[in-house]
Amino acid sequence: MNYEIKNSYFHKIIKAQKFSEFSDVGYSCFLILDHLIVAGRDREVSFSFDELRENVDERISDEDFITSVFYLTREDIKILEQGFSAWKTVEDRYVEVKKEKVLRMINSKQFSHPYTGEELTEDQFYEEVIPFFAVTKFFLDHKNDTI
Amino acid sequence: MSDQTALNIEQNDSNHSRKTLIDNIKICEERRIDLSIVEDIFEREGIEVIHRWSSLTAAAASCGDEAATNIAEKVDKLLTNHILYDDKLIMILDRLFEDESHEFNDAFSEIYSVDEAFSDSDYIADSSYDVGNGVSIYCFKIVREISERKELTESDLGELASVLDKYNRVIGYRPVKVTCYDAVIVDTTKNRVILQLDLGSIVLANAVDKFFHKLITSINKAFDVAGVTNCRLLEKIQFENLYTAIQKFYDNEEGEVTSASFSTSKNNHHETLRDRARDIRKAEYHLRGKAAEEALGGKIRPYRISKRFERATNKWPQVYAGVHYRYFNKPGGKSLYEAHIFDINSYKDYTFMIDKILANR
Repeated sequence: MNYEIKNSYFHKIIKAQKFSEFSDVGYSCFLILDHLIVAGRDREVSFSFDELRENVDERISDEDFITSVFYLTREDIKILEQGFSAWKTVEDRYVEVKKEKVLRMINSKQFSHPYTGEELTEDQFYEEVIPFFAVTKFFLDHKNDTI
Repeated sequence: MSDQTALNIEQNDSNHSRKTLIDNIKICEERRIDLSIVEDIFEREGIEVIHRWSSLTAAAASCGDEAATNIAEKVDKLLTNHILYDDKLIMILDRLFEDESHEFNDAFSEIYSVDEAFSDSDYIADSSYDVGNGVSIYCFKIVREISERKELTESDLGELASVLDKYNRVIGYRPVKVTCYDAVIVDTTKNRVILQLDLGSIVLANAVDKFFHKLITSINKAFDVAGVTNCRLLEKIQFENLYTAIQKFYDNEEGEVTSASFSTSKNNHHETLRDRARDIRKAEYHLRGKAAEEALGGKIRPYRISKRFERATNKWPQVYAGVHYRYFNKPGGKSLYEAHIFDINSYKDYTFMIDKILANR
Protein backbone atom coordinates (compact mmCIF):
# COMPACT_ATOMS: atom_id res chain seq x y z
CA MET A 1 0.00 0.00 0.00
CA ASN A 2 1.55 3.26 -1.13
CA TYR A 3 1.76 5.91 1.51
CA GLU A 4 4.02 8.92 1.56
CA ILE A 5 5.11 9.57 5.13
CA LYS A 6 4.79 13.24 5.96
CA ASN A 7 7.32 15.35 7.69
CA SER A 8 5.61 15.93 11.02
CA TYR A 9 6.87 15.12 14.48
CA PHE A 10 4.20 12.46 15.02
CA HIS A 11 4.72 10.84 11.61
CA LYS A 12 8.40 10.51 12.52
CA ILE A 13 7.56 8.96 15.90
CA ILE A 14 5.36 6.33 14.25
CA LYS A 15 7.87 5.71 11.50
CA ALA A 16 10.47 4.93 14.18
CA GLN A 17 8.28 2.18 15.72
CA LYS A 18 9.03 -1.44 14.86
CA PHE A 19 5.89 -3.00 13.41
CA SER A 20 5.72 -6.48 11.96
CA GLU A 21 6.21 -6.44 8.22
CA PHE A 22 3.22 -8.79 7.97
CA SER A 23 0.78 -6.35 9.53
CA ASP A 24 -0.71 -3.02 8.45
CA VAL A 25 -0.69 -1.53 11.95
CA GLY A 26 1.85 1.15 11.03
CA TYR A 27 -0.04 2.14 7.88
CA SER A 28 -3.29 2.28 9.87
CA CYS A 29 -1.57 4.52 12.47
CA PHE A 30 -0.51 6.92 9.71
CA LEU A 31 -4.02 7.11 8.26
CA ILE A 32 -5.57 7.77 11.66
CA LEU A 33 -2.88 10.35 12.40
CA ASP A 34 -3.62 12.18 9.14
CA HIS A 35 -7.28 12.34 10.10
CA LEU A 36 -6.53 13.54 13.64
CA ILE A 37 -4.26 16.33 12.45
CA VAL A 38 -7.30 17.79 10.63
CA ALA A 39 -10.24 16.68 12.80
CA GLY A 40 -8.63 16.61 16.26
CA ARG A 41 -9.07 20.32 16.80
CA ASP A 42 -9.32 20.26 20.57
CA ARG A 43 -9.73 17.88 23.48
CA GLU A 44 -13.52 18.17 23.35
CA VAL A 45 -13.78 16.45 19.96
CA SER A 46 -14.18 12.72 20.39
CA PHE A 47 -14.08 9.79 18.01
CA SER A 48 -15.75 6.41 18.14
CA PHE A 49 -14.11 3.31 16.67
CA ASP A 50 -16.49 3.57 13.70
CA GLU A 51 -15.55 7.18 12.99
CA LEU A 52 -11.86 6.36 13.03
CA ARG A 53 -12.46 3.26 10.88
CA GLU A 54 -14.06 5.40 8.16
CA ASN A 55 -10.71 7.09 7.68
CA VAL A 56 -8.69 3.91 7.40
CA ASP A 57 -8.23 1.90 4.20
CA GLU A 58 -10.84 -0.86 4.19
CA ARG A 59 -8.23 -3.36 3.02
CA ILE A 60 -6.66 -3.08 6.47
CA SER A 61 -8.07 -5.79 8.73
CA ASP A 62 -10.22 -4.88 11.74
CA GLU A 63 -7.64 -6.48 13.99
CA ASP A 64 -4.80 -4.30 12.68
CA PHE A 65 -7.04 -1.24 12.83
CA ILE A 66 -7.98 -1.84 16.48
CA THR A 67 -4.34 -2.54 17.37
CA SER A 68 -3.34 0.74 15.72
CA VAL A 69 -5.95 2.75 17.66
CA PHE A 70 -4.65 1.41 20.95
CA TYR A 71 -1.09 1.90 19.74
CA LEU A 72 -1.79 5.61 19.45
CA THR A 73 -2.95 5.66 23.10
CA ARG A 74 0.36 4.28 24.39
CA GLU A 75 2.22 6.30 27.01
CA ASP A 76 5.25 6.73 24.74
CA ILE A 77 3.13 7.80 21.73
CA LYS A 78 0.57 10.05 23.51
CA ILE A 79 -1.59 10.88 20.49
CA LEU A 80 -4.95 9.54 21.67
CA GLU A 81 -6.50 8.90 25.04
CA GLN A 82 -9.40 6.59 25.67
CA GLY A 83 -12.48 7.57 27.63
CA PHE A 84 -15.86 6.01 28.39
CA SER A 85 -19.42 7.33 28.46
CA ALA A 86 -22.61 5.88 29.89
CA TRP A 87 -26.27 6.92 29.84
CA LYS A 88 -27.25 9.24 32.68
CA THR A 89 -31.02 9.36 32.98
CA VAL A 90 -31.30 12.67 34.80
CA GLU A 91 -29.31 14.37 32.01
CA ASP A 92 -30.98 12.31 29.28
CA ARG A 93 -27.65 11.79 27.50
CA TYR A 94 -24.36 9.88 27.60
CA VAL A 95 -21.96 11.42 30.11
CA GLU A 96 -18.26 10.65 30.54
CA VAL A 97 -17.45 8.18 33.30
CA LYS A 98 -14.30 8.29 35.42
CA LYS A 99 -11.84 6.02 33.63
CA GLU A 100 -10.47 4.50 36.85
CA LYS A 101 -13.93 3.23 37.75
CA VAL A 102 -14.36 1.54 34.39
CA LEU A 103 -10.91 -0.02 34.49
CA ARG A 104 -11.47 -1.26 38.01
CA MET A 105 -14.65 -3.05 36.90
CA ILE A 106 -12.93 -4.54 33.87
CA ASN A 107 -10.03 -5.79 35.99
CA SER A 108 -12.25 -7.20 38.74
CA LYS A 109 -14.76 -8.65 36.24
CA GLN A 110 -17.52 -7.32 38.47
CA PHE A 111 -19.63 -5.18 36.21
CA SER A 112 -22.32 -2.66 36.98
CA HIS A 113 -23.76 0.46 35.40
CA PRO A 114 -21.48 3.41 36.25
CA TYR A 115 -24.35 5.72 37.25
CA THR A 116 -27.20 3.51 38.47
CA GLY A 117 -25.08 0.73 39.96
CA GLU A 118 -27.33 -1.89 38.35
CA GLU A 119 -25.45 -5.19 38.13
CA LEU A 120 -24.57 -6.10 34.55
CA THR A 121 -23.10 -9.07 32.77
CA GLU A 122 -19.85 -8.48 30.90
CA ASP A 123 -21.73 -8.31 27.57
CA GLN A 124 -24.30 -5.88 28.95
CA PHE A 125 -21.52 -3.74 30.39
CA TYR A 126 -19.81 -3.35 27.01
CA GLU A 127 -23.16 -2.38 25.49
CA GLU A 128 -23.86 0.21 28.17
CA VAL A 129 -20.39 1.71 28.60
CA ILE A 130 -19.28 3.17 25.30
CA PRO A 131 -15.60 3.80 24.58
CA PHE A 132 -14.43 6.92 22.78
CA PHE A 133 -11.10 8.47 21.89
CA ALA A 134 -9.90 12.06 22.07
CA VAL A 135 -6.58 13.65 21.21
CA THR A 136 -4.18 14.47 24.04
CA LYS A 137 -2.92 17.89 25.08
CA PHE A 138 0.56 16.69 24.03
CA PHE A 139 -0.79 15.99 20.54
CA LEU A 140 -2.41 19.43 20.30
CA ASP A 141 0.80 21.09 21.44
CA HIS A 142 2.92 19.31 18.83
CA LYS A 143 0.68 18.28 15.95
CA ASN A 144 2.06 21.00 13.67
CA ASP A 145 5.70 20.44 14.61
CA THR A 146 7.93 19.33 11.79
CA ILE A 147 11.24 17.55 11.95
CA MET B 1 -25.42 4.44 85.53
CA SER B 2 -22.94 1.56 85.61
CA ASP B 3 -20.11 1.36 83.09
CA GLN B 4 -21.70 -1.75 81.58
CA THR B 5 -24.99 0.07 80.97
CA ALA B 6 -23.13 3.01 79.45
CA LEU B 7 -21.33 0.64 77.07
CA ASN B 8 -24.60 -1.00 76.04
CA ILE B 9 -26.14 2.35 75.28
CA GLU B 10 -23.08 3.31 73.25
CA GLN B 11 -23.33 0.08 71.27
CA ASN B 12 -27.03 0.62 70.77
CA ASP B 13 -26.35 4.16 69.54
CA SER B 14 -23.71 2.82 67.17
CA ASN B 15 -26.06 0.10 65.88
CA HIS B 16 -28.83 2.63 65.52
CA SER B 17 -26.68 5.08 63.54
CA ARG B 18 -25.40 2.27 61.30
CA LYS B 19 -28.96 1.16 60.62
CA THR B 20 -29.84 4.76 59.74
CA LEU B 21 -26.80 4.90 57.43
CA ILE B 22 -27.79 1.66 55.68
CA ASP B 23 -31.40 2.87 55.36
CA ASN B 24 -30.17 6.17 53.93
CA ILE B 25 -27.97 4.39 51.36
CA LYS B 26 -31.04 2.41 50.28
CA ILE B 27 -33.01 5.66 49.95
CA CYS B 28 -30.17 7.11 47.82
CA GLU B 29 -30.56 4.11 45.50
CA GLU B 30 -34.35 4.45 45.45
CA ARG B 31 -34.01 8.15 44.58
CA ARG B 32 -31.64 7.29 41.67
CA ILE B 33 -28.78 9.31 43.13
CA ASP B 34 -25.62 8.71 41.11
CA LEU B 35 -23.89 5.74 42.75
CA SER B 36 -20.46 7.28 42.12
CA ILE B 37 -21.26 10.20 44.43
CA VAL B 38 -22.07 7.92 47.37
CA GLU B 39 -19.15 5.66 46.50
CA ASP B 40 -16.78 8.64 46.60
CA ILE B 41 -17.91 9.39 50.18
CA PHE B 42 -16.74 5.90 51.21
CA GLU B 43 -13.51 6.15 49.28
CA ARG B 44 -12.63 9.48 50.86
CA GLU B 45 -12.81 7.65 54.21
CA GLY B 46 -10.31 5.11 52.86
CA ILE B 47 -12.91 2.37 52.35
CA GLU B 48 -12.62 0.45 49.10
CA VAL B 49 -15.97 -0.66 47.69
CA ILE B 50 -17.09 -2.50 44.58
CA HIS B 51 -19.20 -0.33 42.32
CA ARG B 52 -22.56 -1.65 43.58
CA TRP B 53 -25.17 -0.45 46.05
CA SER B 54 -25.01 -3.78 47.91
CA SER B 55 -21.27 -3.28 48.40
CA LEU B 56 -21.92 0.12 50.02
CA THR B 57 -24.49 -1.23 52.48
CA ALA B 58 -22.14 -4.13 53.35
CA ALA B 59 -19.25 -1.70 53.94
CA ALA B 60 -21.54 0.52 56.03
CA ALA B 61 -22.30 -2.45 58.28
CA SER B 62 -18.71 -3.52 58.73
CA CYS B 63 -16.47 -0.43 58.65
CA GLY B 64 -14.95 1.17 61.77
CA ASP B 65 -17.05 3.40 64.02
CA GLU B 66 -15.24 6.60 63.17
CA ALA B 67 -15.51 6.02 59.42
CA ALA B 68 -19.20 5.06 59.81
CA THR B 69 -19.91 8.30 61.69
CA ASN B 70 -18.18 10.44 59.06
CA ILE B 71 -19.86 8.60 56.19
CA ALA B 72 -23.28 8.80 57.87
CA GLU B 73 -22.94 12.55 58.28
CA LYS B 74 -22.04 13.07 54.62
CA VAL B 75 -24.69 10.68 53.25
CA ASP B 76 -27.30 12.38 55.41
CA LYS B 77 -26.32 15.79 54.04
CA LEU B 78 -26.32 14.48 50.46
CA LEU B 79 -29.74 12.92 50.91
CA THR B 80 -31.26 15.97 52.59
CA ASN B 81 -30.02 18.26 49.82
CA HIS B 82 -31.34 15.84 47.20
CA ILE B 83 -34.77 15.68 48.85
CA LEU B 84 -35.00 19.45 49.21
CA TYR B 85 -33.34 20.81 46.08
CA ASP B 86 -32.19 18.35 43.41
CA ASP B 87 -34.02 16.80 40.44
CA LYS B 88 -37.14 19.01 40.77
CA LEU B 89 -39.83 20.18 38.43
CA ILE B 90 -40.58 23.72 39.52
CA MET B 91 -43.21 26.41 39.00
CA ILE B 92 -42.61 29.91 40.32
CA LEU B 93 -44.93 32.58 41.68
CA ASP B 94 -42.77 35.69 41.60
CA ARG B 95 -43.26 39.37 42.44
CA LEU B 96 -45.81 38.76 45.18
CA PHE B 97 -46.71 41.61 47.48
CA GLU B 98 -44.74 41.51 50.71
CA ASP B 99 -47.80 40.74 52.82
CA GLU B 100 -48.80 37.94 50.40
CA SER B 101 -45.58 35.99 50.88
CA HIS B 102 -45.92 36.40 54.67
CA GLU B 103 -49.51 35.21 54.47
CA PHE B 104 -48.43 32.11 52.57
CA ASN B 105 -45.79 31.40 55.18
CA ASP B 106 -48.34 31.73 58.01
CA ALA B 107 -50.83 29.57 56.08
CA PHE B 108 -48.33 26.73 55.58
CA SER B 109 -47.33 26.88 59.25
CA GLU B 110 -51.04 26.62 60.05
CA ILE B 111 -51.69 23.50 57.96
CA TYR B 112 -48.70 21.82 59.57
CA SER B 113 -50.30 22.36 62.96
CA VAL B 114 -53.66 20.80 61.99
CA ASP B 115 -53.55 16.98 62.00
CA GLU B 116 -56.46 16.41 59.63
CA ALA B 117 -55.39 19.02 57.05
CA PHE B 118 -54.38 16.30 54.56
CA SER B 119 -56.66 13.51 55.83
CA ASP B 120 -58.54 13.48 52.53
CA SER B 121 -55.40 13.44 50.39
CA ASP B 122 -52.57 11.12 49.28
CA TYR B 123 -50.16 13.69 50.69
CA ILE B 124 -48.73 13.83 54.20
CA ALA B 125 -47.37 17.11 55.61
CA ASP B 126 -43.95 15.60 56.25
CA SER B 127 -41.47 18.19 57.41
CA SER B 128 -40.69 21.89 57.27
CA TYR B 129 -37.39 23.73 57.34
CA ASP B 130 -36.42 27.31 58.09
CA VAL B 131 -33.33 27.82 55.95
CA GLY B 132 -32.79 31.44 57.04
CA ASN B 133 -33.08 34.76 55.20
CA GLY B 134 -36.87 34.51 55.34
CA VAL B 135 -37.02 31.21 53.42
CA SER B 136 -39.09 28.25 54.58
CA ILE B 137 -39.51 24.86 52.91
CA TYR B 138 -42.64 22.76 53.41
CA CYS B 139 -42.36 19.13 52.25
CA PHE B 140 -45.36 16.97 51.39
CA LYS B 141 -44.73 13.27 51.13
CA ILE B 142 -46.48 11.14 48.51
CA VAL B 143 -45.87 7.64 47.17
CA ARG B 144 -45.82 7.52 43.37
CA GLU B 145 -45.83 4.50 41.16
CA ILE B 146 -43.43 4.66 38.26
CA SER B 147 -42.67 2.25 35.47
CA GLU B 148 -39.12 0.96 35.64
CA ARG B 149 -37.39 -0.50 32.58
CA LYS B 150 -35.16 -3.54 33.01
CA GLU B 151 -33.33 -5.80 30.61
CA LEU B 152 -34.42 -9.31 31.57
CA THR B 153 -31.80 -11.97 32.18
CA GLU B 154 -32.11 -15.75 32.15
CA SER B 155 -32.85 -15.81 35.86
CA ASP B 156 -35.59 -13.16 35.48
CA LEU B 157 -37.21 -15.19 32.72
CA GLY B 158 -37.01 -18.60 34.46
CA GLU B 159 -38.91 -21.16 32.39
CA LEU B 160 -39.27 -18.63 29.58
CA ALA B 161 -35.50 -18.19 29.24
CA SER B 162 -35.56 -19.91 25.83
CA VAL B 163 -36.93 -16.67 24.31
CA LEU B 164 -33.36 -15.40 24.62
CA ASP B 165 -32.42 -17.84 21.84
CA LYS B 166 -34.70 -15.87 19.55
CA TYR B 167 -34.15 -12.32 20.82
CA ASN B 168 -30.91 -10.52 21.68
CA ARG B 169 -32.54 -8.45 24.40
CA VAL B 170 -35.80 -8.77 26.28
CA ILE B 171 -36.95 -5.64 28.06
CA GLY B 172 -39.51 -5.61 30.85
CA TYR B 173 -41.35 -2.77 32.58
CA ARG B 174 -42.41 -3.13 36.17
CA PRO B 175 -44.32 -0.81 38.45
CA VAL B 176 -42.17 0.52 41.28
CA LYS B 177 -43.37 2.63 44.19
CA VAL B 178 -41.17 5.58 45.05
CA THR B 179 -41.57 7.92 48.00
CA CYS B 180 -41.47 11.51 46.74
CA TYR B 181 -41.22 14.77 48.63
CA ASP B 182 -43.05 17.47 46.72
CA ALA B 183 -42.60 20.86 48.33
CA VAL B 184 -43.44 24.51 48.54
CA ILE B 185 -40.68 27.02 49.16
CA VAL B 186 -41.78 30.39 50.51
CA ASP B 187 -39.29 33.24 50.28
CA THR B 188 -40.53 36.25 52.24
CA THR B 189 -37.43 38.29 51.35
CA LYS B 190 -37.73 37.92 47.58
CA ASN B 191 -41.54 37.60 47.80
CA ARG B 192 -41.60 34.35 45.91
CA VAL B 193 -43.38 31.01 46.21
CA ILE B 194 -41.99 27.96 44.39
CA LEU B 195 -43.92 24.74 43.90
CA GLN B 196 -41.86 21.68 43.18
CA LEU B 197 -42.40 18.07 42.22
CA ASP B 198 -39.77 15.69 43.50
CA LEU B 199 -37.70 13.42 41.25
CA GLY B 200 -38.50 15.32 38.07
CA SER B 201 -36.46 12.90 35.95
CA ILE B 202 -38.91 10.06 36.58
CA VAL B 203 -42.12 12.04 36.11
CA LEU B 204 -43.47 11.35 32.63
CA ALA B 205 -44.06 14.50 30.60
CA ASN B 206 -47.78 13.81 30.24
CA ALA B 207 -48.19 13.49 34.04
CA VAL B 208 -46.59 16.82 35.00
CA ASP B 209 -49.80 18.88 34.75
CA LYS B 210 -51.79 16.27 36.64
CA PHE B 211 -49.25 16.05 39.48
CA PHE B 212 -48.98 19.84 39.89
CA HIS B 213 -52.77 20.12 39.84
CA LYS B 214 -53.01 17.47 42.55
CA LEU B 215 -50.44 19.27 44.71
CA ILE B 216 -52.23 22.60 44.30
CA THR B 217 -55.71 21.23 45.05
CA SER B 218 -54.46 19.19 48.03
CA ILE B 219 -52.83 22.27 49.55
CA ASN B 220 -55.88 24.45 48.91
CA LYS B 221 -58.10 21.82 50.57
CA ALA B 222 -55.70 21.72 53.50
CA PHE B 223 -56.00 25.54 53.77
CA ASP B 224 -59.79 25.10 53.92
CA VAL B 225 -59.60 22.38 56.58
CA ALA B 226 -57.18 24.46 58.65
CA GLY B 227 -59.47 27.49 58.37
CA VAL B 228 -57.03 29.54 56.29
CA THR B 229 -59.19 31.96 54.32
CA ASN B 230 -56.73 34.57 53.06
CA CYS B 231 -54.53 32.28 50.94
CA ARG B 232 -55.00 30.06 47.91
CA LEU B 233 -52.54 28.63 45.46
CA LEU B 234 -53.64 29.66 42.00
CA GLU B 235 -53.90 27.50 38.93
CA LYS B 236 -50.80 27.22 36.78
CA ILE B 237 -51.65 30.10 34.45
CA GLN B 238 -50.86 32.50 37.32
CA PHE B 239 -47.30 31.21 37.60
CA GLU B 240 -44.31 32.65 35.74
CA ASN B 241 -44.40 31.96 32.02
CA LEU B 242 -40.96 30.54 31.19
CA TYR B 243 -41.58 29.96 27.49
CA THR B 244 -39.28 32.75 26.29
CA ALA B 245 -36.48 31.35 28.46
CA ILE B 246 -36.03 28.52 25.90
CA GLN B 247 -34.81 30.95 23.22
CA LYS B 248 -32.97 33.12 25.73
CA PHE B 249 -31.06 30.17 27.16
CA TYR B 250 -29.80 29.54 23.63
CA ASP B 251 -29.09 33.17 22.77
CA ASN B 252 -27.42 34.25 26.02
CA GLU B 253 -23.77 33.36 25.84
CA GLU B 254 -23.16 32.66 29.52
CA GLY B 255 -23.22 29.04 30.65
CA GLU B 256 -23.13 25.93 28.47
CA VAL B 257 -25.91 24.34 26.44
CA THR B 258 -25.75 20.58 26.98
CA SER B 259 -28.57 19.57 24.64
CA ALA B 260 -31.18 21.19 22.45
CA SER B 261 -33.94 20.35 20.01
CA PHE B 262 -34.39 23.12 17.52
CA SER B 263 -36.01 24.06 14.30
CA THR B 264 -34.39 25.69 11.29
CA SER B 265 -35.94 26.77 8.00
CA LYS B 266 -35.24 23.34 6.52
CA ASN B 267 -35.38 20.84 9.32
CA ASN B 268 -35.61 19.82 12.95
CA HIS B 269 -32.50 18.90 14.83
CA HIS B 270 -31.61 17.38 18.15
CA GLU B 271 -28.08 17.93 19.36
CA THR B 272 -26.65 16.66 22.58
CA LEU B 273 -23.18 16.85 24.07
CA ARG B 274 -20.89 13.95 23.39
CA ASP B 275 -18.26 12.66 25.75
CA ARG B 276 -15.97 15.60 26.61
CA ALA B 277 -17.64 18.40 24.64
CA ARG B 278 -18.82 21.30 26.80
CA ASP B 279 -21.33 23.33 24.78
CA ILE B 280 -23.22 22.24 21.67
CA ARG B 281 -23.23 25.84 20.46
CA LYS B 282 -19.44 25.73 20.09
CA ALA B 283 -19.21 22.48 18.12
CA GLU B 284 -17.96 22.99 14.58
CA TYR B 285 -20.93 21.26 12.90
CA HIS B 286 -23.31 23.44 14.93
CA LEU B 287 -21.49 26.64 14.01
CA ARG B 288 -21.48 25.63 10.33
CA GLY B 289 -25.22 24.86 10.39
CA LYS B 290 -25.98 28.07 12.26
CA ALA B 291 -23.99 30.15 9.76
CA ALA B 292 -25.81 28.47 6.85
CA GLU B 293 -29.19 29.14 8.48
CA GLU B 294 -28.33 32.77 9.16
CA ALA B 295 -27.15 33.19 5.56
CA LEU B 296 -30.69 32.20 4.54
CA GLY B 297 -32.07 34.87 6.86
CA GLY B 298 -33.23 32.32 9.43
CA LYS B 299 -32.15 31.50 12.96
CA ILE B 300 -31.85 28.60 15.34
CA ARG B 301 -35.19 28.28 17.16
CA PRO B 302 -34.94 25.88 20.09
CA TYR B 303 -38.04 24.29 21.59
CA ARG B 304 -36.23 22.13 24.14
CA ILE B 305 -32.99 23.05 25.82
CA SER B 306 -30.76 22.01 28.72
CA LYS B 307 -28.26 24.48 30.04
CA ARG B 308 -25.78 24.55 32.89
CA PHE B 309 -24.31 27.55 34.64
CA GLU B 310 -21.11 27.62 36.67
CA ARG B 311 -21.89 28.84 40.17
CA ALA B 312 -18.43 28.10 41.56
CA THR B 313 -15.46 26.02 40.39
CA ASN B 314 -16.74 22.60 39.26
CA LYS B 315 -20.30 23.37 40.42
CA TRP B 316 -22.60 23.38 37.41
CA PRO B 317 -26.31 23.26 38.27
CA GLN B 318 -28.48 22.54 35.23
CA VAL B 319 -31.93 23.43 33.96
CA TYR B 320 -34.14 21.94 31.25
CA ALA B 321 -37.03 23.81 29.69
CA GLY B 322 -39.00 22.65 26.70
CA VAL B 323 -42.26 22.05 24.90
CA HIS B 324 -43.50 19.48 22.42
CA TYR B 325 -42.71 20.23 18.76
CA ARG B 326 -46.41 20.20 17.82
CA TYR B 327 -47.14 22.88 20.41
CA PHE B 328 -44.07 24.87 19.36
CA ASN B 329 -45.39 24.99 15.80
CA LYS B 330 -48.90 26.11 16.69
CA PRO B 331 -49.70 29.73 15.91
CA GLY B 332 -50.45 32.18 18.73
CA GLY B 333 -49.05 32.96 22.17
CA LYS B 334 -47.22 30.20 23.99
CA SER B 335 -46.70 29.36 27.60
CA LEU B 336 -44.51 27.07 29.67
CA TYR B 337 -44.89 27.09 33.41
CA GLU B 338 -42.42 24.49 34.58
CA ALA B 339 -38.71 23.79 34.32
CA HIS B 340 -36.66 20.82 35.45
CA ILE B 341 -33.62 21.60 37.59
CA PHE B 342 -30.92 19.05 38.37
CA ASP B 343 -27.28 18.70 39.46
CA ILE B 344 -28.30 20.94 42.36
CA ASN B 345 -26.13 20.06 45.35
CA SER B 346 -26.99 22.79 47.84
CA TYR B 347 -29.36 25.60 48.66
CA LYS B 348 -26.83 27.99 47.09
CA ASP B 349 -27.02 26.03 43.81
CA TYR B 350 -30.81 26.08 44.06
CA THR B 351 -31.27 29.84 44.52
CA PHE B 352 -28.59 30.52 41.91
CA MET B 353 -30.51 28.38 39.41
CA ILE B 354 -33.89 29.95 40.21
CA ASP B 355 -32.36 33.42 39.74
CA LYS B 356 -30.89 32.33 36.37
CA ILE B 357 -34.27 31.02 35.21
CA LEU B 358 -36.03 34.23 36.23
CA ALA B 359 -33.32 36.39 34.65
CA ASN B 360 -33.96 34.61 31.34
CA ARG B 361 -37.78 34.56 31.41
